[in-house]
Order: sequence, then C-alpha cells, then structure tokens
Amino acid sequence: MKLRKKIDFVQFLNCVKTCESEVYFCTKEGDRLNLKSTLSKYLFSAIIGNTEFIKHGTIECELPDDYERLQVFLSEE
Amino acid sequence: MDWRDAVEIRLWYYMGMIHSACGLSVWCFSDNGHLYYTDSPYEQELQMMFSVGGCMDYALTKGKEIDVPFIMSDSIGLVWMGTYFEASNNSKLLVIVGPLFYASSSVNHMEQELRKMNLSIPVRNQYLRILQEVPVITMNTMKQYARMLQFAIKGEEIGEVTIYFQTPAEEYPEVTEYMEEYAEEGAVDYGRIENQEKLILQCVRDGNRHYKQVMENINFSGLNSFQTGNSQRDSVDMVVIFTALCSRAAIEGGLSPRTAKELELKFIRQAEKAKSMTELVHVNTKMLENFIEQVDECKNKLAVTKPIRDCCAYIRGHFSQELTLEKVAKEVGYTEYYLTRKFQKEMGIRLLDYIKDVRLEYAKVWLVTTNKTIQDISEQLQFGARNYFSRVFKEKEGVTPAQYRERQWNFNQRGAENEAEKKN
Repeated sequence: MKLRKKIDFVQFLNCVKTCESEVYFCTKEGDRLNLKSTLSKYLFSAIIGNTEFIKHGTIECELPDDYERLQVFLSEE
Repeated sequence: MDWRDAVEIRLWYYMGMIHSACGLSVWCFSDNGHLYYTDSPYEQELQMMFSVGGCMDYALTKGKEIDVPFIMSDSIGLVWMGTYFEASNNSKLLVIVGPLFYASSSVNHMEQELRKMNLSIPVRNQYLRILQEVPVITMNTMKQYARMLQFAIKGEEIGEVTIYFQTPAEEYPEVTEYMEEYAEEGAVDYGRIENQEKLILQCVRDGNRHYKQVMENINFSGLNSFQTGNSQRDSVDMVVIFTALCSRAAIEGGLSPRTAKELELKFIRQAEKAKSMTELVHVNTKMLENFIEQVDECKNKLAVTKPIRDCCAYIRGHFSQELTLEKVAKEVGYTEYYLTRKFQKEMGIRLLDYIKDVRLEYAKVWLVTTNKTIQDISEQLQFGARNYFSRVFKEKEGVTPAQYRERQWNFNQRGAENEAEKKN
C-alpha cells in the first residue's frame, strides 16, 4: 500500500501509534523504517518533504487489521 | 496606534534579526497548533520533528500555563524555545524558536548511530542534510535570545529571565539561569569555572539555602563539556561528576556518608535515565537542592545546647554501664521529665533510643573486631539476654548479630585474599 497524496503526516503517525503491531515505511532504495521506533520516525520526518520518497515508498503492516486503521491515509496505487 | 507597535511587526523584526545572526528559525502557531508562518527552509520536516519529539504536545499543554519562555528538547538533542503572546486581534499565539543544538558534536554522534542502521545513502543524506543546518548555540546565547523575545513581545526591557525546562513529569520546575549554561566550546575559562565550583560546593558544605542568589551573582556557567562526540553522554557525565562533588561537599558539611551516598546514587541513576537535556537539567537542579537541604537540616540538628551535648558525651562515655534516665538526668542537672523533652526536641530522638543506638554502634565494632561471644557483648552493653539483644540488633540492622559478624568477616577475608593476589 502507498501513502495518499497530501496527507497530514502528524495525524498519520498518531494513527500508527494506535496500531497493534509494527508498521513500516519502505523506500524503493530498500530502507525499512519502523514507524513506531523513535529514530525511524525522525528519519521519516526528514524525507516527507521529498515527494519522490513518498511517491515510491510503501506502507507495510504486520497485522491486516492495522491496514484498516490506516485506511484513510493509504491507497492501492 | 503606530503600526510599528504591533506585536506581529516586532516579532517579524525579531525573526529577521536572529535568522541573520545565526540561522535560527521562528515559528508562529495558533494556540491549537496550526502553523501560521515560519522562516525555516525545512518547514514540513522540522515541524514534524517538533511533533515527533513530543515538544509540540508539551507546548500546547503545559506550555500554556507558563508566561515566560520555556525550553524543550527531545531524544536526539534538538532544542526549542517557546512562549505565548497575545496578538493584536486578542488571539493567543504560540511562538517557537528553533531548533538548535547545544553541542557541535550532536550531528557527528547521530552519523555514528545511523551507520548502525544500514540505511540507504539517499535517506541518510536527507536526514543529515537537515540536521547539519541546525545551528549550534550555547545556552548563554539562547538566554539572550529569550530576553530579546520577551522584549519583542512585551515591548519592555527585562532583566533576569526565569526559564522553565520541559520535564516528563507533571511538575514544572523553576530553574534560574545559572543551570542552563554550559561552558562554551573554545572559550572555556577553567580558572573561572573552578572558582565558581568552589563557591557552589561551599554552599553545599554550608547548607546555604540562599545558594541561588550566590549563583546569580557569579553567573555560574556549569562544568566543562568533554566534547567526546556524544553530547548527551557528555552532559550525563557532567551531572554525574557534579553529583559526586556535591556528595563529597555534603559529607564535609556534616551529612552522614551513608545518606550522602544514597542521595548520590539516586541522582546518578536519574541522570543516567534522563532522555533529554532538559530532563538532565531538572535532575541536576533537584540534586543540588536536595544536598543543600539535607546539609542544612543536619546543621540545624547539630545546633544543640551544651547540656544536651554534655548528656550525649556522658552516654557515649558510659555506654557499657547501666544508664538509667534518673542517673543521666542527675548527671546533667535536670529533672527526668525536662531532660527527656529537651533531648527529644533538640536531637529528634528519644533519650532511651539514643542510648540504645550508641550501644548498637559499639556492638557492631565489637562483633567485627573482637572474639567476644554474642552473649558477652550483650551483657557488657547492658542488653541482658542474648535474645533481646539479637532482636533489637535485627530491628536496626536487618540481620542478627551472628549474621552481621559472619558477613563482615567474609567481606574482610575476601579483601585480604584480593590483596594477597595483587601482591603475588
């Protein structure tokens, strides 16, 4: 799943907090940032301004239910 | 009203001045966190970091109750200053200045941390590019900017600025300026720092509760940073060393070594657990306050009158004899009733308990240094039956006399063996 365009990233990370298991942002370069880890959240913050990272990055959840929670921020494309 | 009097205009000038001076950015938010404007080149990224680090939450909750600048920091060492002001249309706005680093080693340390994560070069570079542009500013300079901000907002010159430090707990520590200063890299006056330290440690030794005034007068700049590359570690080490120095001074001031060591351990543990610079400053402040209070209380306890001091000396000189209340009172020249009340008031302990404590102190010495049986010790120290002696001893020390003796002897034995090994 990819992130939708023009989402509120602060709200997105707040929503990630409510997920039951780990949620990862994966870049096309092969990085796998755990969005529940503090340092990874800082790294994620640093790349949100670069549309290429967001456009090509994907969100991976360990639990299917967590996709439901993040539904408003995700798209199939 | 002149347009130049509007607080927004003054803030605009302030923004331009500090940005041109050192690249610091100013952010203006509504009181519910909506960003109105900033001059930061990394608006989205740094706003997100401000939020991710918990500083935004702090500013929007606790910060609202503080009407002077407050300093916040996060787990990667980014520092922000904030304050609220009333705009011309009477709405309440939050102004944030930052981020900044206190030590130039912060980014180097982060680079090392990132290497462990095996990140791709584009992600790593993007992260470092932003953080490398964060200005490194000393606390002293930050303090000046806080004064300027107060001036820009309130329109009046102020002398001392009381600065609040963000804490994870519910409390809001008020920390005067002496604590936020750390030695400036490359401009360290070691002689001055040493003299300041001497004065502060003298305050601890004296139990001087007015120590804040002393520090304001000398403009305490804290201990020197080690500059090892890990600024958080350096700061923790500084607090640990300062705690040990305060502990030593407190002992010299009359605090019992046991209490001093307990306090020392407590604050060192807290310093090691601190996750941010502001939390560390809070621990340091509490530590200093605590040592000074304890020494002061201790000194007040020592302020006993001569008859009671004579009474204590008499008890210590005759601990192995039968000591009745009547006998001690007669020796001091008071009635039993008056002596017991006066003794407890001045010493904070009942006279009979004091006699018991003195005897237990000697019991401990005899247990370790002599071959006397426990029964003999019990009788010679006027405890009578061995069972009663054991019970009283255990209440005080947590172990029976036999266990105490065995433990101490084992300890001494191990020490002797280690010494022998060293010699061999």
